[in-house]
Amino acid sequence: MIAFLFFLVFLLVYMVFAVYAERKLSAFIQDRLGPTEIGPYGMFQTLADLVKLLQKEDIVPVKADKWVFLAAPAVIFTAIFAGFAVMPLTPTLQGSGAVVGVFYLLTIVSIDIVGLLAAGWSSNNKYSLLGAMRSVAQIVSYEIPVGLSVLCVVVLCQTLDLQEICYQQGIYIRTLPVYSESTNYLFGIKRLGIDMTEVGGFLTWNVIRMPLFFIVYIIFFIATLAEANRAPFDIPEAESELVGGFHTEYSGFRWALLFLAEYGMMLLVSFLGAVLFFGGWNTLFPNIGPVRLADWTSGMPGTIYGNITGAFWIILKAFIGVFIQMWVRWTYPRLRVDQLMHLCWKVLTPLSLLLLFISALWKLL
Amino acid sequence: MNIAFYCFAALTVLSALVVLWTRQLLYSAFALLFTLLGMSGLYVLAGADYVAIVQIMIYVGGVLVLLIFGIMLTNRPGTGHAPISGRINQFTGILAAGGLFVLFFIVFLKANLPFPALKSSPHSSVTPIGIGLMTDYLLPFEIAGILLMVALMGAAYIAGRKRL
Amino acid sequence: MQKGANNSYFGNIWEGITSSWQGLKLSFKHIWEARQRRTPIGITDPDYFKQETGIVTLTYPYESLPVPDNGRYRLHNEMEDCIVCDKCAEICPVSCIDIEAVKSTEEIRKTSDGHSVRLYAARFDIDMAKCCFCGLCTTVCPTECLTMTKTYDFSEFDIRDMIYHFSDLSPEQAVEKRQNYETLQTAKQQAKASTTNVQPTEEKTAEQTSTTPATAKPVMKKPAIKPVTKPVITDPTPSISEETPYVTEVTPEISQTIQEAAPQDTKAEETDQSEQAPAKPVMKKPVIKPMIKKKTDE
Repeated sequence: MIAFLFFLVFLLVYMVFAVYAERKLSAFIQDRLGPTEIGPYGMFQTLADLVKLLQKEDIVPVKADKWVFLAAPAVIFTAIFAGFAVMPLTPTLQGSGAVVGVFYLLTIVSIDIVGLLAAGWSSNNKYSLLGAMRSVAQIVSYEIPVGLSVLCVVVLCQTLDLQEICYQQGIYIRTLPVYSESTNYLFGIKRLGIDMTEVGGFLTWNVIRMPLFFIVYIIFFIATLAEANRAPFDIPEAESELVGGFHTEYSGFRWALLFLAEYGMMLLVSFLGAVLFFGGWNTLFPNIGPVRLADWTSGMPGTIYGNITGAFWIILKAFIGVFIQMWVRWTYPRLRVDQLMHLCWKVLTPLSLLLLFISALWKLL
Repeated sequence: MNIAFYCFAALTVLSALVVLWTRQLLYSAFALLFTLLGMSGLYVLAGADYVAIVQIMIYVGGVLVLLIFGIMLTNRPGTGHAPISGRINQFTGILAAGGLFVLFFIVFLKANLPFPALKSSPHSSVTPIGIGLMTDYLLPFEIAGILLMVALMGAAYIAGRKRL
Repeated sequence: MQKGANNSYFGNIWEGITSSWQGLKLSFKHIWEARQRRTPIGITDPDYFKQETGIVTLTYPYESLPVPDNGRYRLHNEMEDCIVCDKCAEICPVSCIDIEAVKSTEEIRKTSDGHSVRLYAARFDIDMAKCCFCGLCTTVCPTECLTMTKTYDFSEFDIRDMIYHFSDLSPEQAVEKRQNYETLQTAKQQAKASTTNVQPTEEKTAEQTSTTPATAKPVMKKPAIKPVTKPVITDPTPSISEETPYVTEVTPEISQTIQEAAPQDTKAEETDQSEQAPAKPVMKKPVIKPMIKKKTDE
């Protein structure tokens, strides 16, 4: 329940400042200033925008399918918010300790597609319909590289539970009864015989336990970018050709909800990337001999200090992920549909299959 | 737990009734979404979390999306022509449905199933299913895989066939 | 690597990776450089072209690039020097200058460069909303009273406020001047009629029916009779000088803005007239004026 309330509030606050950050970042990339007027450095610009949005009339087009139209944003947002349920925020705080965590996450997000379809279809607008069709084609296709790249991690960690995956990547691995006997070796290779269990830090993150995971992460990042309908994979929205895609007809509060869902999706996949590849709530700093940096910067699971540091690290990592997503967005132009499919089916899917194979072999080393 | 069970059951049954009775094809597709979600909720309560997730992933993420996609391309809101279905084979229909109901009812009575959600097992069903698929049920698993592969190749061939 | 140099499958992937990386580096460079900002220095500053990196935006109302003193934006007319010759209104390609002249019964004043002013401007309106800032009016102005100032931000909420009234006469005064002139003309007509009483009948009827059109023509050639009516006009002239920049049909706001702007402009104009007068013609006039002169010669 705490996790639920936390994520709900956190998501709203995050969205307000993520929109601001995105506007600032895009401005800086384009040598502009961005919002400057409202609040210090224009910090409350989004709040003002939000107030404006909430005041606006909730317009339902006459020819739209009213109930589906009204329900679609809620479906989209619910699907994405449900994804946060299995996200481990700290060593002990997690909405639901479902054993099928990652699998659930990938699945529940696919309900998002139904919402997109409903939104696009019920608007009774050719742009919305086209946007919805594009988004479905895109998301269904990119679920394969996402699934395969997640599978690489699952093969290595041998669990679907996100909390367990987090525990595996840090110094507190042995506090979990399941792993009380297990040991973390450098690069995950037992034969090297370098025990990293007590060192922790970034040296036990999945990207180091299996160095090729950096490539897997890039695949994961690209594919989740497409899942989140973010530029350069924003052909479903494509302001310049489809006006706004599936959310063309939405206004006011419902539009804000769709926006919230988009930014929520960004955060969700960034969280997931942080958990799967970059140690989740584990600290960045390793223990070096008597300098117990890892111990100092992450408390024991269950303690207050452990909760605070855990939340700090995972949120920091997620925000870095969001930053990279924004950075990418304002760097690249939009892909064409055929380029999108080429990238997915001919590049990312074969590569992730190959990497899955290597990951399975790596476990045997 | 019981409340959750009845909620999910009600969701499933009610949305299934909507699927049956609505005149708007797309509504029944969206109602099917809730039927499937309710079903997966029931699976979770029965301790079969893996099946529940697979239910959503395949039926909602795959089949239902395909269904809606098809409806979307053929049916537009506002055109207002509901599918017309005549009343044919009423007698045989009722007979078949009633027979099936009686059959299932008897089976359920005799099966003596434990009431679901009595015990949510701490152990996930994922590991046994995985081990089972790789050992005892390897042959069916592989055959199913080959079948799907063949279907995929056939689909690709048909879709990619050049016009004569 | 040249684009498309290796057009194979892996070549394309490699090129995609390298070019994407280049793009990310480029945009990150801009994020990094966003710590710097360009400063609002004018083009005359030697550092003007050295600000190549960083944010280019200036938050305009708070900071703005300095405009050079010879910036050519809003028009200003120095009524003291205006002889109401109507040349500016005629040359204006968008007809944004609207002048209504009233003849004076005598020479009103001398302009600062020695022209004699013989016309009152009952109306001298410039519609800055129409103005295309070509500057033709300033080049034809014989007394250089119509100039472009460096004020460029003069937007208004009401488009009617974009019409600037430069006339120094109130409507009542204009009516008075017109009456003065007409009474003078009729007096002259009567005097003329009395002196040359014997006239052909045709001319008589023409004069009796239409006195005004006949009076319009001989305006400039009348100085001979002026001294007679002089005492009549001496009264109104001081009243004009008292309320010099009179603005007709103006809401309080505008009159304020104009009054705010006007003193600065007039000051600038005065300095222009007195100090920069020799310098200015060097910049502008030689190019266009000779051409007009030639035309007049031809």
